[in-house]
Amino acid sequence: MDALPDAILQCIMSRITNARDLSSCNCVSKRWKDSTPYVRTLYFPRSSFDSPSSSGGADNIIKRMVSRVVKLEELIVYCPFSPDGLGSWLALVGHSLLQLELRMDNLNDNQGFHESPSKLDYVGSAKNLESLKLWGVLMVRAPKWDVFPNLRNLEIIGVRSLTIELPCLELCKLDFYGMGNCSLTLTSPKIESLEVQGCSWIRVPKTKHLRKLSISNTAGRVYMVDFGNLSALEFLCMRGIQWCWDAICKMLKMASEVKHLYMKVEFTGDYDALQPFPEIDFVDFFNSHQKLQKFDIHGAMFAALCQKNSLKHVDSGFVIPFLEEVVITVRSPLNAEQKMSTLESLVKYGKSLRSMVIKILEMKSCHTSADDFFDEICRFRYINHNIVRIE
Amino acid sequence: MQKTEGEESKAENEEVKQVTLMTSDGVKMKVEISIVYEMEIVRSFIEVNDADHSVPFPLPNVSSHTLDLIIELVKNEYDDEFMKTFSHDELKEVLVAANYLNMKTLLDFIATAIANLLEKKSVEFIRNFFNIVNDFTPEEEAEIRKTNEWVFQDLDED
Repeated sequence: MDALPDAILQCIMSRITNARDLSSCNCVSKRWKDSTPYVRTLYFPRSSFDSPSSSGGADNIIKRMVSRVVKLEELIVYCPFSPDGLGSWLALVGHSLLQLELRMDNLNDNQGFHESPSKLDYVGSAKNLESLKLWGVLMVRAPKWDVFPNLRNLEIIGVRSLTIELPCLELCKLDFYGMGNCSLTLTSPKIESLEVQGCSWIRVPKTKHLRKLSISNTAGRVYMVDFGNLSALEFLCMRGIQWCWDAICKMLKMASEVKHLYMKVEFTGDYDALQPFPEIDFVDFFNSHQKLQKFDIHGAMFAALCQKNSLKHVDSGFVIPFLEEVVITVRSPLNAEQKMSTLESLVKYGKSLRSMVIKILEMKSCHTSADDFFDEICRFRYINHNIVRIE
Repeated sequence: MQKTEGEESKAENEEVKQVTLMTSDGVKMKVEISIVYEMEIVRSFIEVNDADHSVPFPLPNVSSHTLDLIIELVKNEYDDEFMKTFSHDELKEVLVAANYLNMKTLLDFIATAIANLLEKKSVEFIRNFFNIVNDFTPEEEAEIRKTNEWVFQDLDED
């Protein structure tokens, strides 16, 4: 084959993102060397500089490679680096960068605790970013986040209590570290998808476009949720060990239009003591979530949905109009009769129900009652075998 | 009005319509028009000249073997598994042909595949793959290898 046309060379080169491979390409020929400045993406994997002979250090090698690129749009660095190193790269390419993804490893930077500026401060110099992803941040103090007027996508693992005001933000994923007692205030009128893990107080006033919301707290208690209008919300996920009952009620009341609801909260209670759930009225619940198509409910919450005797006198017009898929996790044979009656009601009133998956987790409290309950569920599956599946 | 009618009749015929292509080794191949339409170079010609499709359209830079591979790739909706059966030479021929025919989806697909193939490969492997002559002087080569020395560990065996 004759020499590769320039267009094809560029085409291949632009798809080589790993910095190591690009460095190899640099050494192929003069023409290949002259093509590397036109890449748009540079990616430095975790182990880029593990070899002992990597003299010059990661900071300098990355700086040299970054400095050769004419218009770098995406920089991904998973290998260790220093705050000053980051500062020097961003001084070179900060203005052209649209996407930045860094593994911060701030835990190892304790010596830099009092020094300024930090890695987070330097990130602020990439003002045109549209997407920012930071891993292992372990944030000690909140940086200024209003410096990114174009930021649409923000993902951070390791934040502490935080106030965000970003006018263009659409997707946001925050994983808080610590005891699960942090707070978040997010003011972004275009927000469409929000995932929060490990946060106790959540305040998001502008939610007109919010379609997807996931709140989970495995370390602490979800204490307060405060959202604006949630009429666009289609997907809601509530997870965690403990949510205050008020927070659950408020969340469910506001999310009246959801199509897919996932609920896996183990306990409620306003204080440290873990409380069981109050009873939930089955008919009220489905009447106030008419658009529900997909419904996942786990253990304790399912039990709460079964306890109120609202099923004994159901209004003749009651239907669950759009519900198609249900996934239920059952963990205890307590109140087996009510649980069976709830399962039967879902099939009876769910006019569109296509599939019900019953997941049975280790039931061992009392052997005979667990066996009886299991037999009941199997019988139920047998009668409704076209819909019900047991896992 | 006239234009609408024209479009309708074209749409009706498209299912059965074929275009004859003449490859570099003189083989005439009838190709479905949906596939031909991915080849911008042919498409633009057909669209401008509402030509008689029985007259073969010459492709002096594409062999019949390469065209066969391209047609199969498009028919298989760019199946990775099928492409893995290609030799290095076939990959390069398809790459160059995709660029010449101006097939954007195919070019993207094949360029990504080749970029993946070059992952963790040595400088020599890349030179051999593309038949590239090393035009660095020994001094230049030593210099550039020193600058990039962090790369020259843990490479895959060629």
